[in-house]
Amino acid sequence: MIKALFRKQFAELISQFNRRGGAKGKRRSTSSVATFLLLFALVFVSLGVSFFVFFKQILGAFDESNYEIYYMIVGLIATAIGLMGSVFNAYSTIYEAKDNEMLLSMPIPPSRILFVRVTALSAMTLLYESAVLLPAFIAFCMGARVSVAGLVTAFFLVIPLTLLVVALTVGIAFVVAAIARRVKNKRAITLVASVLLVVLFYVLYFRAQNAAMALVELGTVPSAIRYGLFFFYQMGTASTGSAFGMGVVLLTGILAYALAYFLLSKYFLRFVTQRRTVSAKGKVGVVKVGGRRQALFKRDWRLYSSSPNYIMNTSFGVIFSVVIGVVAIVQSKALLDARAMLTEALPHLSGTGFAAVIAIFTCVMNDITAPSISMEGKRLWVIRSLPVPAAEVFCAKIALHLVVSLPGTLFETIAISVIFGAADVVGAILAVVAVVAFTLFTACFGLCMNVRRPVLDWRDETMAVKTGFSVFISIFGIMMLSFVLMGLYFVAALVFPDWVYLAVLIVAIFFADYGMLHWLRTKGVARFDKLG
Amino acid sequence: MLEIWNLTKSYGDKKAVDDLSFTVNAGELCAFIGHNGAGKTTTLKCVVGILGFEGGSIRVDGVSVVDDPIEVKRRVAYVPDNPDLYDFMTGMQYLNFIADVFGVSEEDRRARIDKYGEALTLTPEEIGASISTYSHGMKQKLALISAFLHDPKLIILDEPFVGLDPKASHVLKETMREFCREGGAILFSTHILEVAEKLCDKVAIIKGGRLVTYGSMDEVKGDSSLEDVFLDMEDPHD
Repeated sequence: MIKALFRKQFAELISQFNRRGGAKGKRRSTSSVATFLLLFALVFVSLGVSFFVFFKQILGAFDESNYEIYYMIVGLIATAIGLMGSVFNAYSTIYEAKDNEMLLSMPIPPSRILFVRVTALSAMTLLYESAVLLPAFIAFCMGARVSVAGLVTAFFLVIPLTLLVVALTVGIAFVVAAIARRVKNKRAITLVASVLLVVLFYVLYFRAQNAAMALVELGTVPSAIRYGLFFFYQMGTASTGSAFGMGVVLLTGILAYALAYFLLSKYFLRFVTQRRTVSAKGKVGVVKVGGRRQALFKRDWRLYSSSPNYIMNTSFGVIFSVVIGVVAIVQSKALLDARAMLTEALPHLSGTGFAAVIAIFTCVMNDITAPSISMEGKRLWVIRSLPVPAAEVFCAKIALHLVVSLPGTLFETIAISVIFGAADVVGAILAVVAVVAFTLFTACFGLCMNVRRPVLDWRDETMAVKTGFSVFISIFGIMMLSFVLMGLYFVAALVFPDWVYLAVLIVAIFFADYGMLHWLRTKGVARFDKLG
Repeated sequence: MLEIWNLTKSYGDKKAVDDLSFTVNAGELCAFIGHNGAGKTTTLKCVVGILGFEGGSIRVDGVSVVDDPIEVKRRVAYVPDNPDLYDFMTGMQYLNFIADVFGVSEEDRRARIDKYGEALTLTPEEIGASISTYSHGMKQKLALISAFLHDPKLIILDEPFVGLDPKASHVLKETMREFCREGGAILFSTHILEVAEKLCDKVAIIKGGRLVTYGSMDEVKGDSSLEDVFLDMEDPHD
């Protein structure tokens, strides 16, 4: 029975990658799956390389007397990444899994269903953590004097760390589920909880980076941190051979996991089967007349704004752009000092081009159109059966992307332009135009990719938003492009003033936008009309 | 009103619909019957323009679904067998959306929502509630209201009686008859042969993607029941 449940779980995971949702779950070709996996591996490796560089850099500050600090930092970062990756999954895959009722109606003990789900969650958490742990481990092996026993110990510390992260993940999901049971608007709660978690994560992450560097410089661990982060400090000592540390870490991980599992098994059935009965009684609806295009936009807006998954996974850039804009204003003096340093090396730099490339970089994290066709899912028949040209459907989705993304990125662009390039009015205007053009570019690119490869056969919105070729290519491709554009800017600033770079950029992007819009109007429409 | 000529639709090597031809005229209520996997839903989706097809032609009110699908969709309403609706909307928001797409005036939409809402026992409060709180039957009712909302010429229904309570089923039958009396046409698939027998003017029976029989109800069933006719057509080895 356990084997059957694991097979089902594995099949569910695999089907996300090897089935094309648009053709009634038609299997992808082997080459297509291989390409997808290769791209996935590339992203994983890129992440790993950046962590490797970071860990190699800090390792140099340690020696045999204080390697525990290194592993403490590794443990903290791995925990943060593991939590970030898993916490959104835990709630939806344990409490909100669509096949919960079906499985519970069969002669399967709930404890076994839970066991399989939590094991799958643990495996995913380990995968996220390994993006940090593997490079840290490799950097350590390459840069430090290690013993075999030490290496083996450090390697096995992964297990209690994963147990702890899963316990925390399950605990947070438990709290969210407990609150969601009592409130009418579950989506609002999930959205608020998600935003709070993300904000908390990034605040802690950036503080942790600063704290890590401070620790590196200090060379020892202050007692406040030793006791405040007891588990992670002991993990550090365990990795250098401390039996006490190993005992503490193992015991903590096992106890935390056991407690989380106990809570889960006690309340799982209740949460899943005794849902708050929400009666289908609302206020009397109002008849409101609007135009067709307005109706299409409102439809996409309502879909977006009602889905925490959709918002959180496609609109990080909005938060970042506003934060960067505010930081630019608040820390303007520091930025002007940095600008003074930059203009020594790049005499033509006025800063407006810099404002544009920074805003372009935050655009990467806004990929609202990339899953927009996938989000139609099994409801696609509605729009396909209506007298609505596909081109208008596309327009509404692009409009949503622009409406959500532009305010933040424009604020950021103008803030940095004013501070960095106050005298360059022409440059500032061109920076704004460039950012608008690029935002349109990201909207069109994501939509083109999703029209080509939609994932329609999903049971959980997370699949539509997070998985699929289009989302992957959209984020990865635009990220690479933004790096290239940033690199080109700094090269161009050696020779040309910013306005030249911006003018060329605008022309190039508008050409690309025109090309993609043309594709959408012709081949895109033809593809959309075949979906069903 | 609806003319299907030599319709052929394949999924890979499998012919789901093979050289299918029949018509439904204005004022007619036609039942579309067949075993599971016979090709009924495929045919209906081809008529509505959701699925493309390789051979034949489909015309609604003289307009080809291939040449002008938008114009065809303006004249047609479709309700699938398991209507997944926009659960991020309330019932009223959904109806307003449909009405906006078809350009239904405020007066007309108010009158039709009230009329069909009352007939199908979906109260104003229920229509005002989020679709995510609806049962299957309520979604079915809302989808039916949305179908009648824009006064189409042809209504395509895939298993419309599934999930409806007896009163709503009765009301739907009455509404379908009234719609056809006023000049509209309805093509619907069903497994409930007694309903088809009592309600419909015409019946088309499909098997393995091919039309087995088609004509007026009296012509097709003769002195026996529709159920007997249908079962006689089923090969015991299928």
